[in-house]
Amino acid sequence: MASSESTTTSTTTKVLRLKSSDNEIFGVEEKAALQSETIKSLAEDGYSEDVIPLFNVEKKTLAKIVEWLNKHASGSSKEELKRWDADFVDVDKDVLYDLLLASNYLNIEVLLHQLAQKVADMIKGKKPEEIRQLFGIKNDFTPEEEAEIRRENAWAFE
Amino acid sequence: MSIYVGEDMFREILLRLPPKSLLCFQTVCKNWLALITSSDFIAVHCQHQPKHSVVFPSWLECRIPKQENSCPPLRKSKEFGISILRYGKSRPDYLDIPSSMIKDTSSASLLGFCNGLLCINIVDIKAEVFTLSTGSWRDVKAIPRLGRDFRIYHKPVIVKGVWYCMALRLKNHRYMSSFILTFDMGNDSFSIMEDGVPDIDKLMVELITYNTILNLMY
Repeated sequence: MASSESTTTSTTTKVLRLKSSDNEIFGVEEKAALQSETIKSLAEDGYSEDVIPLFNVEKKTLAKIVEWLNKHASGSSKEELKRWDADFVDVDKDVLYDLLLASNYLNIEVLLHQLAQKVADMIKGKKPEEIRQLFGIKNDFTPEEEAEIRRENAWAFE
Repeated sequence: MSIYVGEDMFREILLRLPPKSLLCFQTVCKNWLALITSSDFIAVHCQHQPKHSVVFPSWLECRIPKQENSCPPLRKSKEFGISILRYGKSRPDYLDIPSSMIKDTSSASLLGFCNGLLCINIVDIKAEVFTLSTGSWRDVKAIPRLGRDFRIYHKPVIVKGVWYCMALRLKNHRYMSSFILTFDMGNDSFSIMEDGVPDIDKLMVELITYNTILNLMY
């Protein structure tokens, strides 16, 4: 059962239904859901009475996103949110990238920034080769070009 | 496992990296090099950095307040500082650098910087490196055999991350020989170049850079 607790709230609160790419439906209070610019524009386009399809987000990722949306609409104190957010982004790298892609697609700016910061903290001490491997980037420099950039900034490559 | 992350997300991530990582990541691929070195990226990156970690200054000048011989000692935060002109600003900012281990700031000097990342403070062949991004000093090993009987000349030059300065040995305050003192910012080490260094007692010798090669002009 993937629906979040917000589906059980009173009828006076409008609930939007979000559908993951693998057809799981999540009920989210409108106030929480509209933190996503993408959902906001889909709701404005008339999807609000119906199910809002999110083709690029799987249910396991959407469950996490819904959790974040609810928490950030719950009126928690700043300190509490800060602690909660730190726990929220403390996940393994695959989950982190899924969340990053989803928050980018759903256009949730605050979450995107938190996740980008987390990834930055994770990669900042790494070597270029490790970065290429991590993100699947092909090295398109010639050995000479690469050596030249390294020479110019030799001290940064400790 | 590798993960696909789009261009715009790379930008979001790179904006949050310290300058040293960015210099290092220029060699990841051509796209990253173009992104990291674009003026637009640099300007936005400046705004993302925490206050007091000034990065990519286009102009840097050292101001070291004169140390009074009398007590009380200077306020620590005023011992060493630099003025930095940041992108998009018409006036330089003044940045106080926290006190270092070297107490005699009157002979400390800013030896060089590269994209605002480091500046170095050398006194009596003891050097410290200050990292603007972390706001902290670290010590560097001296050359044991050099002793104290030497003078370094002004106008050091930096070529590819190595600092070069003309220097001379003294004995009982008298000139002995010339050499070039080098400091490699890559591995934090000093070394001495002696072979073929002209006699600065007899000639005006100046170090210059030309085509990113170190040259002696005399």
